[in-house]
Amino acid sequence: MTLSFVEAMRGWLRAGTGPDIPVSFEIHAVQRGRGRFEVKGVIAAPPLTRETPARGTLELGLRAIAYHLEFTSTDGRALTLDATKHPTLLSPLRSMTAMHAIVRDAEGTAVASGEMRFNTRDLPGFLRSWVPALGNAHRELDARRRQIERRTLARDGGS
Amino acid sequence: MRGREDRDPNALRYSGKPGHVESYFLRANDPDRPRALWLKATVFAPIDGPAEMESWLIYFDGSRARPIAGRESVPLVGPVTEAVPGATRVHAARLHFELAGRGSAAGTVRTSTGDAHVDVTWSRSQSPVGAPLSMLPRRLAHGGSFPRSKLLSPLPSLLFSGTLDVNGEHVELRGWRGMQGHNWGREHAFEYAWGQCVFAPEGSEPEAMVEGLSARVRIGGRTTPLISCLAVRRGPRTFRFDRLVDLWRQHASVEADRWSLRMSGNDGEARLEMDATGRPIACLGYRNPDGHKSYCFNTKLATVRLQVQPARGSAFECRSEHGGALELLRRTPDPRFPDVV
Repeated sequence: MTLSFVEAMRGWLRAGTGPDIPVSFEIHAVQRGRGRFEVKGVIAAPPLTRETPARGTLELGLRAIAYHLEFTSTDGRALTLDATKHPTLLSPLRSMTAMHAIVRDAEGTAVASGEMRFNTRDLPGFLRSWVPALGNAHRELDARRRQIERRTLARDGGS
Repeated sequence: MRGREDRDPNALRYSGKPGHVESYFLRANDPDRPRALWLKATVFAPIDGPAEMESWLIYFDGSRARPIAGRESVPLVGPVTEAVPGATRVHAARLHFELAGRGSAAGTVRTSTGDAHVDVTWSRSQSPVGAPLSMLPRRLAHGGSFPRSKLLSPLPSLLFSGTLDVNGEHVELRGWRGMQGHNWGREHAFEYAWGQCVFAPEGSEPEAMVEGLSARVRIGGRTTPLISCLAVRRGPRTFRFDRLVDLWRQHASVEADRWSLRMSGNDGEARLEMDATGRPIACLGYRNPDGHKSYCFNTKLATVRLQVQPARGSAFECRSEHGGALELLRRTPDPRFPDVV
């Protein structure tokens, strides 16, 4: 059986001495191997990037849950977001809901970093998303992502 | 049955009794240059003395250090407003408003540089952003004794056109963006920072607006800490931060010419920065019905940065270089502004 789920994380990043940048992503993760998921979704970190499609991987292990997302900035640069949760029994809630995130450019230079969190109010929806028959969160997210892709194509094609 | 909350948001609250101040105000910003027009009609009914009508006008031009501002007062004779089908007419001295989705303002106000003549019309934004807005929770916005001053935005997003003749300059308003507000109460709030900004649609970005308030009010002879509320509209969505009592989720900072606010709640988290440093500011002397005077430091050319992290959906940011209305009301004058309007 292939596992899948939909998850949203939100937070604030700091880029140099500038103001904090809000960051959010919502991903649909589909299992592609043992502990390895392919993810597709939507990320936003304005003004670095407005709402834009993102793709990447999620490595699910006992000691670490690692997110790697690839996306394009508003000015057309290729960027990545890497973030890792470190589950521990000493602090189960915090370690499973908070993670340090770093956005890097194509050269690997850190562009912004900060903390992202899973909102516990999203927990019921997150749990339901593991059972596709109980909802259509993944379909809604996939439709939103495709809509943003079309919008991006139309904008870039018209410029 | 129509309840009090369903009233026309421009319905007059003044009942003819002393101890009341009520204003209708309009703002229009040039989207391309740091220029703005502000108009206000006020009924002022002191506790002791006859009621008056006041007209106000300020023209802000970012190329000048000081705005051109003026006020006229006349005794209140006859009704303050006149209800016509679909509109509310207000006459204050030589300034006349017809408040409606398609409305107008015309007339003359004496300023420090002579008479200023204004003749503008507007139309309401057809997007959901243009619907009447109350930042305060509905039960507080329309009734009750708290807060003592109430505020509504009957027309939070307007598109203006028309002319302004001021100080020998003829200003054409073409596609200026702004809003119309309405406030009333027994007095002005003890101290407040109020801000509003309309963000034009751009490409795939929908129209948006923000309105917020941080105020200290008097309760039982004591002054409260800053109490804040904020409303954000973006396309069809409204994000409200209006619990008022959850002070631990409000972080407001009011400085000489700046205001910043961080709010969180069920709709997510929002951060607002409004900065009028170096921008033309007018100091307005606001009388309170009990005789106290307040000083309103008023600009319509503030820079604005709004960041929203919704509880559902993607983060977004809205910016304006010179489209922010920022008013800071204090009980003390500021020596930087010797000329109080």
